[in-house]
Amino acid sequence: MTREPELSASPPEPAGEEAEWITAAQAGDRGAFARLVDRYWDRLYRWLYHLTRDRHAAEDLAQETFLRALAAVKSFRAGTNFRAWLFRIGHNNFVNQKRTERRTKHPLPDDTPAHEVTTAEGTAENREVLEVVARAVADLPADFRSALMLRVDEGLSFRDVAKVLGTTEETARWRVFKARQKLMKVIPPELLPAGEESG
Amino acid sequence: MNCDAVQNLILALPDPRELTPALREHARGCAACAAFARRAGKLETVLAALPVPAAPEGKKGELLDDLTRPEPLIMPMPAPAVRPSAAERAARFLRRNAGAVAGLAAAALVAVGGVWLATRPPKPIPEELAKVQKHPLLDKVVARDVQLARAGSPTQKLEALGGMAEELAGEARGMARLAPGAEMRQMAGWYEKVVRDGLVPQSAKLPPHVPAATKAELLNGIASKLDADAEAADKLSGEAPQDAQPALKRMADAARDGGKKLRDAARGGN
Repeated sequence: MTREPELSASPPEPAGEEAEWITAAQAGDRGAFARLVDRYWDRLYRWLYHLTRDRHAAEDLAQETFLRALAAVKSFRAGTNFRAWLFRIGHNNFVNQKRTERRTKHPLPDDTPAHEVTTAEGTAENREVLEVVARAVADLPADFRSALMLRVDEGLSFRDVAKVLGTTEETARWRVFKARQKLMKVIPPELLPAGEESG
Repeated sequence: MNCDAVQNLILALPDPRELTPALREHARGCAACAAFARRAGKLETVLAALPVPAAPEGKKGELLDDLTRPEPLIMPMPAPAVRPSAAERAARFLRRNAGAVAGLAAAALVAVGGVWLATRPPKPIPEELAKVQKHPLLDKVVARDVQLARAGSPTQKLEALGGMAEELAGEARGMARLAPGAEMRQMAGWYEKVVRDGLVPQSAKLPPHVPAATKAELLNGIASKLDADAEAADKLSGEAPQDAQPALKRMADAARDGGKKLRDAARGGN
């Protein structure tokens, strides 16, 4: 696979404001950390939901992630990507939870979005397409799913996806590629009509 | 480039909606690849719009409330007005028992801001104020203290002290990740006081007529809980903020030491 330039790398971080919050949080300002929680909770929860497919588990993991981040915020290196650092903690929590589940043999229940959607509005896609794609994404191997959603949903660069997942950039790129490839194979072409979309 | 290669390259892009010039050029002359690129772009759009159910329990709000609460997690406050007679009984008990038990109980009360032994107001606190200022930790410690005051035997005192240690340990675990270091140090101090100045000396005061088996069961039971407290505090000290870690380690040490001494006392029972 040839490496292409990252035409849409991660959106720029709001460096000034966020850096100030992080510095203050590292100095013990809980209010500053609260602002970071407010900024990243929904995004982290959304990604964790895609990983767990269980909103209770995703919420618990989000909470645990922020508590661990609070405990470790002093070790965060200023100037690096806070979001990638935070999601890395979230991913570790998710992996640990899966290990525990394997030991206790209590798989997470599937929790389909049903009617309580938070992001469907505003898209032109019909419900059927969303449901089919959601099911196909849920059927992806967890490693592929987590990489794909970090790239597509969070807009992280492959380098940051790799940081979050604790792997190499090439592996992150490969997982996103394979995930897209599998989705293209299983989703009926008529649900993804080749309208005018590409650039 | 053949079409398979082009289509793979499209899927390997950071965003398949944004083709490189070379890919765009190929797609311009190849209907199949152009359609594939549009489908891949469409998929990308749908993926970004996938529905996610709302989080169920409002934990974000809870966490934000905890983080932005202006007061310390342990709020100094007067004793609740709802049980003045119990408080009076506890006060009388503490005054009568100037030994280790009184010391630690008073310490626990003073520590949670319940300085009512020395500074209780001349008239009862208005009901409304008492309700507003109610605090779960204060309630628990006062309840344990009342239990201590009512304890008619050394065995009951030990049980009350064991319960008090358990409450403090549980509270410390609950607040360890959010409380400032100073509050955790305070909490560790109370816990040490209850274990070292309360439980341990009280375990030596069990009267000779208590059967050895009963004594062993009681002391070993409390020792097991202390061991569990030690283990939990140790584990949490690896995850809690750095400021809280020394306090958790102190609590773990106190619990371990207390557990060992209670087991020794159980073995030396008559």
